[in-house]
Amino acid sequence: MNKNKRANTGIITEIKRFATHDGPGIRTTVFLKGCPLRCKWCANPETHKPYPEIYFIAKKCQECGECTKVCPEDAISMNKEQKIDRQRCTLCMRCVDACKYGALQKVGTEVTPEEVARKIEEDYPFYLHSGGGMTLSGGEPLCQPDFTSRLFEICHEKNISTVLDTCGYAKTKDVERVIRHTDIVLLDIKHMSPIEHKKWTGVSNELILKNAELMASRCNVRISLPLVSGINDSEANVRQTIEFAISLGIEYIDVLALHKLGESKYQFLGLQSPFSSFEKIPDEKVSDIVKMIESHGLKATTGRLM
Amino acid sequence: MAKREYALREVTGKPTSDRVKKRYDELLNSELYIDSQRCQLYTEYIKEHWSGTLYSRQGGALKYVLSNLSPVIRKGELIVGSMSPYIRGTHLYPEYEAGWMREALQGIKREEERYIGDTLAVKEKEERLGIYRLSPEAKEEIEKALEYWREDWRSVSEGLLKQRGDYELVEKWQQQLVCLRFMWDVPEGRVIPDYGKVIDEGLESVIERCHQKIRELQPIETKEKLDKYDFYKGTILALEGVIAFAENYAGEVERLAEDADEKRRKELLEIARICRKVPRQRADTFGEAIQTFWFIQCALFIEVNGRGISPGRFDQYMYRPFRDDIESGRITEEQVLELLELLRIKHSEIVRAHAEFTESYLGGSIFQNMTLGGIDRYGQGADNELSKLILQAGINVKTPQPTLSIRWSDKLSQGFKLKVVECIKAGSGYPALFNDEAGTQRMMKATGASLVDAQDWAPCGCVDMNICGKRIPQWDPCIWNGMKILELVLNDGINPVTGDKLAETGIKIEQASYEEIKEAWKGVVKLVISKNVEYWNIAMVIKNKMGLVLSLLSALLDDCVEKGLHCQEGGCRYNEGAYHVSNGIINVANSLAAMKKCIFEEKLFTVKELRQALKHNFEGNGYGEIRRHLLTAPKFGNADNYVDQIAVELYDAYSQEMEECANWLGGPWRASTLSVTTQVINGNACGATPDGRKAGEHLCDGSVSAYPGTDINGPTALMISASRPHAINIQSHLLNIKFHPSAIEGAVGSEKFVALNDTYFDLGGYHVQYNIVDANMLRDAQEHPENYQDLMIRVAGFTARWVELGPAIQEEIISRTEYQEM
Repeated sequence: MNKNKRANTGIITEIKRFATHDGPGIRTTVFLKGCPLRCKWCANPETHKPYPEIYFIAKKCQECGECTKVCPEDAISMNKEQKIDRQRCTLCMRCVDACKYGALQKVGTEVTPEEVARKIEEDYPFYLHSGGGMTLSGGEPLCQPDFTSRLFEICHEKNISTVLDTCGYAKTKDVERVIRHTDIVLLDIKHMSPIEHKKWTGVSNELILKNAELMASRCNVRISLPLVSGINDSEANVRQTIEFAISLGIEYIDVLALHKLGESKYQFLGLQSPFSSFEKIPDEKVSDIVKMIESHGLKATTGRLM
Repeated sequence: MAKREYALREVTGKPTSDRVKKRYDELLNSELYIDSQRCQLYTEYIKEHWSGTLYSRQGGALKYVLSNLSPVIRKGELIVGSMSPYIRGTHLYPEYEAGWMREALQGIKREEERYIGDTLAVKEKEERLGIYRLSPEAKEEIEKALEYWREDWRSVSEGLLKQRGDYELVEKWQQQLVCLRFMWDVPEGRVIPDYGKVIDEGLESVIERCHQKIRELQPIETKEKLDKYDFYKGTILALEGVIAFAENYAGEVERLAEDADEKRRKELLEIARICRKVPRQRADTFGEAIQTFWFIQCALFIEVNGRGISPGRFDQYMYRPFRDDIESGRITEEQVLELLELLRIKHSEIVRAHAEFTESYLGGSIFQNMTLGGIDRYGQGADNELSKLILQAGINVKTPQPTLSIRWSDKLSQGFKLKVVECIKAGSGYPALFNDEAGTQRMMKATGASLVDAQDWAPCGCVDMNICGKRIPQWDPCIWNGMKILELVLNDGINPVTGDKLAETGIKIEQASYEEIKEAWKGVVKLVISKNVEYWNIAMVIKNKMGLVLSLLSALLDDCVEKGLHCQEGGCRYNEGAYHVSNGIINVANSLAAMKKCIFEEKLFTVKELRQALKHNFEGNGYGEIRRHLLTAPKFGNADNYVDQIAVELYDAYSQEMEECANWLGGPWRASTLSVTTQVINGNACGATPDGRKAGEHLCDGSVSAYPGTDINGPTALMISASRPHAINIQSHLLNIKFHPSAIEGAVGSEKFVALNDTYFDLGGYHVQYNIVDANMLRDAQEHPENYQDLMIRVAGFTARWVELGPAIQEEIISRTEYQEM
C-alpha cells in the first residue's frame, strides 16, 4: 500500500458516536491517525503512525493459513505469538482481505472531510438537545491540518460545534488555521518541565506552551492534565500547571487519571504494552489534586465530564 | 474461580426500614409453589352451580373463592392481602386448559418443547408441577379437580377447530415453531382497570349502580335484557366477594391483634379499621388508598387467568390521598416510602403457573406495569412528589414486580427526569421509557378515542399499551416467528428441519428475484397470521359462551356497567383489543438486505449457493466466505437507510395485513411486536440464515433492537434506526440498549443521558429500556450466583431476577452490544 494519501483526505481510526467525555453534551469524536509525540503511557498506539496499519487479533484466528498464502513478502507465520514480521510487512493488506474471521484487520481509513461531516451530521438532533457537537481527537488532529481545518469549517457551516483535543505540538501557522473554526480546545499539558516532557513524550514542551498562549488568546481553552503516577502528579508540577493556566486566563483544568484500556491494542499491533511499569493512581490523590486546582480559584473536573 | 473486576453501580439503595428488609429477604428466599385452593374452590362451586346462568355462575364462583381463601398476614406487614400462604404461591385455572396440568403431573412432553433447551433455570428434583413445587396434599386436590375438567376451553374449542380441514397444518406450525402454540393456558390480561374509581368511590357505589340498572331493566322479557340482568347479578356477586375478602382480613387482623405487643397491636388495629372500610367505601387516607389498590389487585389476579394486569398511572390516582395526608401532616414522606417499598414486595409475591412451554419464554414475569409521569388532562407535566418516591422505592427495593414505565414528555420537570435516570443507574432495568405524545397519537388512531381518553394511556404488560380503565383487555393468540417464515420461503415452503411442507410460497426460490422473495415472505406471513386469528376468533366466542367471563374486571372498565355488557363482548368504551405478535423481523430485514446486496446487486454468489451454505451451517467448502459477505452487508441499528427501509416496509406490510383481519367483535386485529424471550426458542428452531446467523443461535430481541454485535455505530445510530419503523401502526415496539456504567457516569452523564432520550423521542421513537451494567459483573454473577440474589436485569419488556433466568437467556443478555466510554 502506498503510504502517501490523496490530497484533501485524512486518515482516521474511528468515529465514535455518543462520546460523553470529549467536550460538552453528546458528541461525535473522530480519531485521527498520526502523532508527533510518543507518550510512554499512550492509550491509543494505533494512532501513532500517519498511515493504515494491521491489527492481528489472536483470539479470532482460526489458523486457516490463508494469510500466509497471499503474503508476497513472506512476512506472516502460523505462530499466533509472532504473527506478522512488521519489518518485512509492506502493509499491502492482502492478508486482511484474505482473512475470513476478522483476525487481521486494517486500522486506519482514508476519508474526505465531506464524508466524515456527513456521518457527523446524522446525530445533529442529539447535539441540539444536549449542547453537543463534534470533537477531533487522535492521534494528533494538528498533524493533518488541511483535513482538520476543512472539517471544522464544514461543521461550522452546518452549525455544529467543534472541539479540538490536542497535544499542542504543531506548527504555529497550522494552529492558527485550525483554531479559526474551533470552539473549544482541550489541550494536554503533560508536564511543565521541558526535560521531563521530552523524557516521557519524546519532545520538549516549549512549542506546546507557546501554542497554548496563541490558542488561549483566540478561543476557549481547557487544560487536560493526564495524571500518571510518579511522573507528573507531583505537587510542584501540578502547581506549575495551575500557574500556567492562570497566566493564560484559562478557567478549567480537567484531570484525567491514567487508564490501561489500550492494553489490547498494543498486542494487536505486535507491540510491548507499557502499562506494567505504571501504577494506578489512587482516587484520593486525584481528589487532592482537584482540590488543589480549585483552591487556586480554577475549576476542575475528573474524567473530562462537562 | 478468580474474582472478576467490574465497574460498580453508581446508584445503590437499601430498604428504608428493618421491617422492609425482613420482608425483602423473605421474598428473595422464597420458592415458587402451587396453591390448590382456588382450583379446588372454583371447581366445587361450578359443580354445584352447573345449571346457573353464566355470568351469575362466574361472579358467584369468584365470590365463593374470595370468601373462602384463607387470609394470611405476614410478619410486619402494613399492607395486607395475599394470594396464598406461600410467599410466592400460584393458583391454577383448569377450566382453561387442564391438559397441561395433567401432562406436567405425568411428565409428558409435547413436541414443541424440544426447542425449549435450557431457557429455564434448573430446579432441584422434588414433587413439582412444571417448575413449581407442590405438596402431596395439593397434588391430590388438583388431581381430584382435574377429573371434573375432562372438557375445558381448549378441548371444546379444538373440537370445533378440528372440523376445519387445515387445523392440522396450524398445529404443525405450532409444533415446528412457525408460530408458538396458542396461549390456552394463561391467555388473559394486558389491561389497566380503573383502580381510581374504587379509591374515589368505593365498591358499594358500583354495586348500587348495578342494582339501579337492574331496576331499570324491568320487565325482563327479552334475551338481551336477561343477559344484562345476568351480567349485573354476576357483577354484584363478584364485588361482594371482594368486600368479603377484605372483611376476612379485618377479622384475621383483629384476631392477631389480641396477642400482639403494644406497638404491633396499634398497627394491626389500624389495618383492621382500614379493611373494614375499604374497598367498600371511598379511601380518604393514603393508607386506605394503597390498601384499596392492593385488595383490588389481589382479587383481579384471583379472577383473571392472566398476566399484565397493570396498575397504570399509579402516581395520578394515588395523588389525592397522598397530597391530603402530607398536607395535613397525617403521614410523612418516609412513611409513604416504606409503604411503597412494601407494595413492591407484595407485587412480587404474585406469580402465575404456566404450561412449561409458555414458561420457557416468559422469564417468570407476570408483567404488572406501573406508569409514572406523562401529561395530565390539562396538558401539563403530570410528575409529582409521589412519582419521585415511587422511583426511590424502586431503587431501595429491587424486585422484578412491578416494573416501572415513564411516559416521557418535554413537559416533565428536569428534576423528575434526573430522578428517572438515577433509578435506571441503580441497574434494575426499570423504568422503561415511552414516548408520551406517540402513545396518545397511537391510541387516537387505533381506537378512535377522544383526545382526553387517549391521553390517559399507559403501558400494560411489557410494552403493550392501553387506555386506563376504558379499553378491552388485549388478546394475543401467540407469537409468530418471522425468521422461520423466511426459512420456509428459502426452501419452497418446506421446513428443512423436519422435511414437512408447511406453506405454499408461490415462487421457485432459485429463479426468484429479490422483490419476489420479499413478497413471498409477506404472503406466508399473511397466511399464518390470518389463519391464527381466524381460529382465535372462534376460540374467543367459545370462551365467552362457556361462561369464562370476568365480572370483577368488567366492573372496573368503562362502560361495561353502563352498557350491561361484559368487557370481552363489547362492554368497554374501546373494543379493538386483539393483536398478534411478531418476533424476528429485524433478522428478516438483515437477511433480505444481505441477499439484495450480495446476490442481486454485487452478484457475489447465487441463491443456490446461499442455500447450500445455509444447509451446511456455513461450514466447509468456501461457505465461510459467503458468510463473511453476508455479515458485512448492512445491518439494522446503524442508521443505514439501505436496511432500515426494508425493516420499515416489513413492519408496515405486517400491520396492514393485521388490520384487514376482523376480530370476534367485528373490529380490526392489530399488529404488535415484542419478544419476551422467544428470540431464544424461535432461534433454536431455525437453521442458519442469510443475515449470517448460524443454526440454533437466538434471534434479535425486542422489535427494533439490533442483532447483538451488529450495531457498530453507537447508541445514537441505533436510536435513529429504531425510530424509523412506524410506531403509530403497531401496538408496541421494544428497544433494548445496554450501557457500561462509564458511558453515562456522574451528574454530567445523567444530563447527557436525559438529552439522549429527549432526542430519541423527538425523532419519533416509541420505547427504550436500559441495562446499565458491566458485562463482567454478569459473568461474575453466573459464576457466583450466591452473591447476586438481588441482581435484577432487564430481559425484554420486563425485569427478572438474574438467578431465576435459564442459562440460554443469561447468555443472550450478555451477548447484547454494550456501549462503552473509552
